[in-house]
Amino acid sequence: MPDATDSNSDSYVDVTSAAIGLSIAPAYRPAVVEAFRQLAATADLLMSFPLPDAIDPATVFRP
Amino acid sequence: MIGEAASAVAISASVRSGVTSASAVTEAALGRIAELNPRYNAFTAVTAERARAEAAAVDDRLARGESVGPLAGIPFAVKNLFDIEGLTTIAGSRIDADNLPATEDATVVRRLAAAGAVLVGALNMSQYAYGYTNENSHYGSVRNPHDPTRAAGGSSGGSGAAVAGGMVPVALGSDTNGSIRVPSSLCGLFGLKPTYGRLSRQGARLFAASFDHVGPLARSVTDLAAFYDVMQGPDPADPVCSATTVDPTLPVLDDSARPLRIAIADDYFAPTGVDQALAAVDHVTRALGVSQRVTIPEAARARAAAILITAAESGNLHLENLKTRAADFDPTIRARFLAAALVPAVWAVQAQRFRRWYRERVHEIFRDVDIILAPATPCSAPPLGEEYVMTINGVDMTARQHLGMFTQPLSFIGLPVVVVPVHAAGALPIGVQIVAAPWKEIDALRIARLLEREGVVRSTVPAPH
Repeated sequence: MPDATDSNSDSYVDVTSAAIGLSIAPAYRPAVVEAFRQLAATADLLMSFPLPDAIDPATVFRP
Repeated sequence: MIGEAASAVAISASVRSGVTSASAVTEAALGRIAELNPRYNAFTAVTAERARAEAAAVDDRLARGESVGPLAGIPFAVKNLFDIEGLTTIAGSRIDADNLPATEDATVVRRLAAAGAVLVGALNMSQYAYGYTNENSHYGSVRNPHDPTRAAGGSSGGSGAAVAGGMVPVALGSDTNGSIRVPSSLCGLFGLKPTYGRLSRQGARLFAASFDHVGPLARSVTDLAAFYDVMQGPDPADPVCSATTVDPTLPVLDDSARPLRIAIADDYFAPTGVDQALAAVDHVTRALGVSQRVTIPEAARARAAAILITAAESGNLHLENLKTRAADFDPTIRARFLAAALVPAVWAVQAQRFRRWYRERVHEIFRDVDIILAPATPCSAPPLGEEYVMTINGVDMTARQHLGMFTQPLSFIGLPVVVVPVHAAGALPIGVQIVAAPWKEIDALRIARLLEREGVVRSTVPAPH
């Protein structure tokens, strides 16, 4: 995954948007890359925190 | 005479005792909306025909000596993401304006109407509930009644302006990351974000389902409680609504709140650069005689996780529109929405696992305290139409993205919160969050009521600007 300092945020946006069929207009692309870079910085903070494997995700589904 | 500052419960008492009629109250509210809405841009639809019919029905029942509901004749309005029968639910988006009209009211709207409340309209909001300033290029920015050059807050900005401007005594909003609490703070109102799963969201447009809540904004705690009580109850139509009982708050609102153990959130919730917000907390804590402090661990990471889950869920929800109608997303949120659709699963799942961890830590705190006090917003209403920047702990942060920095770590785990308005002379209002343990809305409401009764917090309707 890209991190906040990874210039590959650029290529991640291109590859992932193509993979999910989301065409991003050239005029919007620089702002989207910057927005994704901010999300990556946010994710850095989260992903750097160690969690025990026994922790369940907080999503609960009751059949 | 029912004036613009009349409380909801006073209106209902006047209607039921025959001092005035529901129809007269409704006409007065419609008149105020016609006069004031051009200034504040709070309403996107006025349901005058329905309101007159509902008011007439209340008056007819009273004339026949029949019982009426506890909210008889009270005008109210709802954020335009709630379904209103016969009206298209636009959710602040011209994309949704192409949808068919709703075929029935949202559950909470139906419950309020059944209790005699009179729906007068639908309220402006940030597009798809994404945004803290309620700047909306489709339907116009909502303006703050305390200073119309400034933001009313978002995403329930129309709800904030409609109540603060005296057009209705109570409005409904929704809150995913702060969208009831931020406009309550900026507009000087009382706002209740109940426990996650307490109130039905059926018929309310989702944003990020893991955090979506609905709740009221009002100018008094009693009015908040009156509306909250009527909306409570299980609803099988909302898979997230896990409430199994109705816990009425209005009858016990004035019971002593003194035995509650109260602490002030420090660390993340007390940074530098938010002087007015911390002065408001201090104002409340001095009145309550509170000095104990508590640290909510990893609140910054909680906010980060909330941002990522919100991105993942909203990016998924709106993917089709992002593919086909990206140009119809507001310029202030378009890039963030497009980026949200690209969030990898590993981040979103880790955020949900972190949410479990964080929930356990915060529950440990609630073994020793009943109430946590925290600022609601880092600043009072910022100017509209510009990228207002705050410097918090030495870091520049825009109001558009960070007005919810104090609300997000709390809604992240669904805690009930009441915002109370602190309004110092010569300053704009700003809110304080009264945070209770899950399902203990009554604790937060009692503290809010105590502060209101003692004149520590208050909500006023400003003279029209």
